[in-house]
Amino acid sequence: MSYFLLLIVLLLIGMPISISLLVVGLLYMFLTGQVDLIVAAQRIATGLDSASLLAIPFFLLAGNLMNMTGITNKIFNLASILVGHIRGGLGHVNVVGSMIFAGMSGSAVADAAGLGAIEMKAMVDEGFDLDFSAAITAASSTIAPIIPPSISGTIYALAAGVSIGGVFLAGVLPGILMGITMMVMVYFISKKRDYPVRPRGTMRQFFKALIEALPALMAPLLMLGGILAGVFTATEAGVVGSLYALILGFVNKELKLRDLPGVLLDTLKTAGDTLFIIGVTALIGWILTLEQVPMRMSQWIATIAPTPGLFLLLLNLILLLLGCFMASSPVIVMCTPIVLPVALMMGIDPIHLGIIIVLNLMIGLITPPVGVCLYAVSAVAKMPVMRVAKAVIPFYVPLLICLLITTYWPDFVLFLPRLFGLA
Amino acid sequence: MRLARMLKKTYYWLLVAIFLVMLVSTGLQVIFRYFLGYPLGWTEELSKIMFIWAAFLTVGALTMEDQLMKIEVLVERLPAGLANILNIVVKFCSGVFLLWLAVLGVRLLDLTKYQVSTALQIPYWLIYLSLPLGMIIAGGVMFAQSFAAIKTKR
Repeated sequence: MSYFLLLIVLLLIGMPISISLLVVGLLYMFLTGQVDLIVAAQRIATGLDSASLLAIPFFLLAGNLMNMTGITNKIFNLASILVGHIRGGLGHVNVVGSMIFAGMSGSAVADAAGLGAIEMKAMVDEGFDLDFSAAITAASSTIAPIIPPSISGTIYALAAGVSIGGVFLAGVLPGILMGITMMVMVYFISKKRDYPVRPRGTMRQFFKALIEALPALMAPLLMLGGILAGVFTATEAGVVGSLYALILGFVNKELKLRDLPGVLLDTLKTAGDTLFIIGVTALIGWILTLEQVPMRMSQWIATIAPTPGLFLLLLNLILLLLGCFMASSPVIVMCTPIVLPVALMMGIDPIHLGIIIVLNLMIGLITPPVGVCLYAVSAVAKMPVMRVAKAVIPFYVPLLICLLITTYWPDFVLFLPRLFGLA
Repeated sequence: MRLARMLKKTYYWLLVAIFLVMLVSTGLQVIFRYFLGYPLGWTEELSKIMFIWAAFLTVGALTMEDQLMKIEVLVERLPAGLANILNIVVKFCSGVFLLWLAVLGVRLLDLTKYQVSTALQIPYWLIYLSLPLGMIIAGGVMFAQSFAAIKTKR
């Protein structure tokens, strides 16, 4: 308990998350003196000695490259023809655009900053309020890590030791549900504020937009299809996705060879911290097992939340709170080893648990004070973060409805993974 | 100063090169297994070794740019003087623990000096060398930042 309090203090005084964990781990081993400290170095080094972990930088790279292929405009056009004529026009286009983009990239920030910039400009030009445009852009960006591929899903799958393909598939239906519920919200707000609609497109325009956006639509089929058909592993799918984006970028003449080192370095920097946290967490996980923390945790939770329903409610509340203050990947890496054994004991499917964890933390991306998507949108829209945060509030309603459905209807989440024999 | 800039640049290029090897090796793995029906035995191991190097060395790069993830909500709301003192203490302690891990990492090298990897026969100390190296860079940078903060305070 005292170590846990120390960790909280270190985190609050601004020590990097990875180093805070390292301090607690090393101090524990030093003070208990039961084992040689060399085990710490060994655990951290071997914690990263796994080929599956390469999926994290590879999927990040694929997402970063997809953003540079110049295909975002075409996604926007297709979404516009599909749903632009519904009341709230570009608001719906924003959501559907994010859903299509989610299939190419697993990163919410990439969606908010890349596609978001195009969407917000178009919305303001057509007479939407900037607040509303920023809010729907931020809210819809949270779909990206739910619809596969997903960086957060990959990190969870690796931390929990479940199939990455299974977690990816489990995200499909909740992701679509998020889109639909957000569109309902857009519809009601737009009706009240009398936001404009776009003229209905012709069949010809539809097919033209569809063909132009086809490379974007193909990306998820290529990556997910390849994994499910057993052609390549999830790690390799990240490389295939990157290569696909690279070819697309070169063909569209949007990507130059000299951009490549910069993208590689940026990707590595984004992934590096999470990877170090994963390494250090391997040490912490070892200590937790030594101290029988998961077992004691299970007993404790069994007394305060004896049913799976109550346990999941408690889990949701804790994760939503953590998501307000922390980035998603460290929370996934730190919480999974503690929560998973309890969930398994209660008969909760690990893949279902993964989607619950990821969805909670995605809501955390648009909650202040720490919400990377709020910051990304505020930077693009040039408006204060707290103004974006205030405008986003109505969209918590659809997101929380989705969270409830996802949490308490496992059959809905697990339908696709079961269909493919992965759950 | 120029030397420092050059070193940093070289360091970043090294990271890019490592990532590129990781990518190409995994790419070859797919091509050879699926398209040529001739699976290569060493690609996965090479990618994994490069990955371990990339992961630990990137910690150094992130420290230089003060980009390691942290919770800043509370510190941002503190008075500037107190925040600065806290920053000095946090950086100094971070440096101590990173260097401690580096020392343990060096001992790990000694422990694994006779082991070699299965496919490529690469000695394990060469793989795990990345841990102490990355930690020495990160720890050293933390100390430097801590002392620089003390200096500006004066």
